[in-house]
Amino acid sequence: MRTTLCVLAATFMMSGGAARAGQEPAPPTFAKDVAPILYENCVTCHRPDNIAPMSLFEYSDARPWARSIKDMVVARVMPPWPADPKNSLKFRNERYLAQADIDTIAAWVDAGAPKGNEADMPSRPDFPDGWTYEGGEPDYVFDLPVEYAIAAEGEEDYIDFYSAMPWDEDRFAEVLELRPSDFRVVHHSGVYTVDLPWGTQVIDGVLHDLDGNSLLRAPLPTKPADAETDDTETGRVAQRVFNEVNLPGANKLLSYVPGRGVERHRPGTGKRLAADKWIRWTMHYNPIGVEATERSKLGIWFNTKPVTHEVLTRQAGNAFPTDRFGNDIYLVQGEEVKPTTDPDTGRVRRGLIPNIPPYEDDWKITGITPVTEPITLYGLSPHMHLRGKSLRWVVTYPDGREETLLDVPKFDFNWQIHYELDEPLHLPAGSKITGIGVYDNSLGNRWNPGPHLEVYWGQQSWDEMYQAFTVYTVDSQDLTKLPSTNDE
Amino acid sequence: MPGQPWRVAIWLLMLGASLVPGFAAAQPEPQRPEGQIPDRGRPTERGDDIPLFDYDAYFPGTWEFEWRVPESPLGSGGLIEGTEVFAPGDSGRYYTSRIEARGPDGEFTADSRIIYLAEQKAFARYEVDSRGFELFKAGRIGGDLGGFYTVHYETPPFDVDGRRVQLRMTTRLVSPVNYRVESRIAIDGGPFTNYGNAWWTKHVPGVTTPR
Repeated sequence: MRTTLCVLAATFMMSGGAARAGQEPAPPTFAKDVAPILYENCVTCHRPDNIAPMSLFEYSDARPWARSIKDMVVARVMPPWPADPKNSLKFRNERYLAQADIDTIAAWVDAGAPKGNEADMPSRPDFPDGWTYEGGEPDYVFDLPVEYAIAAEGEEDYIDFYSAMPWDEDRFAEVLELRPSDFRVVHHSGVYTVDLPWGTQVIDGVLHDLDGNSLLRAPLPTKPADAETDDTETGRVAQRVFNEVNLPGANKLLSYVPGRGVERHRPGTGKRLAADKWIRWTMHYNPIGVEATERSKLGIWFNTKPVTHEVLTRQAGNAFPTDRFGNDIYLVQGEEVKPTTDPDTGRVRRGLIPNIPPYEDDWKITGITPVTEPITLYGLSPHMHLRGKSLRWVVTYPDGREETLLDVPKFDFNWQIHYELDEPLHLPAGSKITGIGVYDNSLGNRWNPGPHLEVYWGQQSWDEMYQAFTVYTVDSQDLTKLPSTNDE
Repeated sequence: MPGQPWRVAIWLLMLGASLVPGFAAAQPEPQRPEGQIPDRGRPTERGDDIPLFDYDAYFPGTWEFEWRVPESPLGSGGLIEGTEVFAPGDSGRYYTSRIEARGPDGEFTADSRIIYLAEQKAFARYEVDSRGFELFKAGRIGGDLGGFYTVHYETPPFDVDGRRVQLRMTTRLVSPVNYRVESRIAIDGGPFTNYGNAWWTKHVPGVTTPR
């Protein structure tokens, strides 16, 4: 009996094996095999009314693009991840397709991109009201105070709008998302917590002088020398520096640029939304050839546990936030940019970064921040403009050992990602954070509209910026042991 | 004197060799392409003039392009690659271009007549495509102070194999030797959807741009 069963079992297995050997494996289908990959890796951007130019939610959306999808994923152009993984730490928001997923997409396209069985379609990911952060609806939403009209062409200045804080006590944001209503027209934007500049008031979200004249495009009032001093007022870059509650870098909440706009802080850390401050929206719009209107939103998800450390956003090259006597340190083409002294006042001024010469293809600026007390590092955000070529962060430890944190060898103005470290990195006192930015003002830069021009440092995309944003907390800070700003 | 002709020949060769580099050095270097914004010697300011777009300084010459398109009544989805040669027209009143390309459905050509009215900031382009359709595009050009000029083209609806098609194209002249076309298509009166982004790169001796 046992022998008979064994023979039967062997015969069954062999027949099954023969059947399998004689069949081609079924080709992947959109519904069963490809949609789950797209939903997991692509539709954050490739969905209606988002930054990507087409949706990939439905078969009818993806099918016309099948060959291009294959080409893009096989070449690893998509999903975009400009960092070099071989020369960078690991990041928790990395966007990679596993080779098996790439192979599945390629096989699907090669098989004629079949739809498959509708019943196999995965459930659609839920993006609450268009937000990218997957944690549900925001706890609070700030709307840009005005619906701003952008002309079809010309130049748009940076413009600021102001929103009052709607609460009576300081709150902390664990997650923030800054979301344009029209991605086409927002070149970039930023939100900050600030005091109002001296001699101003806010009317309908716009700064006015005390006589009611709009300051949207006018210079700010000048504070008379004999005006009462108020340490809380420092103009457009207002922040209470060095009072141990609001360190330099605390007032920047986040930026939106293409590829970026969500910052997720770790529980127990966050960005302070001080009750007595204002939200300043700094908006830079792009004319796109047709008239348009825009009204961004700022989504706030409050802290999920008590915040002990305030998140600081500083650029490599800035003085360390608790070093009261530190200077910014920059080297251009290897030479240090020296501070200058005002001949009239004797005050030391920050040295000026020289302009980028015409046709220069490898122009380097290095920013160095000496770390004078222990910090915990969470993230890095490169920001440059059209001549940006590469940006790399290196930390030098007290024993001289160097480690590259992030290497973006081909900076892309259209994909300026905020890189969130997979694990927070503790840096001891005596370390050094170095940011190395390289610029290409030559014809070899396909986005360069004027290689014959000297490039100035400024806000417009045809001027340049070096912003090697570095996000960290100072370990010695413990907000539970400090007075809140409400107590001042 | 025996050997003198040989010496003379050597001398002449040496003289020639010394003159040739000098001759070459005297040749003017080919001018590097420039953007169309003048060097003001200062950062731009709101209210600065944006020069009228200079067609003759930009387009004439041979350009390579590549364009990934979706499936549509215009053809199969995939990569289209080719060249486009822009030249002055015979009468001097218009320009011409000829596209020679290969796409997912094979080779094709397109011959165009282009009119540019600088003062009116207006373009018109009539294309005859060997794939069996003709396009008329009209558009306006605008610019910014950094030197990006943008042409917004739109076609009236046209018929291809019984389908009603309309195109909108935004051509961004992002560098003296590169421009990018962002295109959208509406089929049978439906909404405009993405018809792909394309790059054109100009042949300029000694200039290599990434593709």
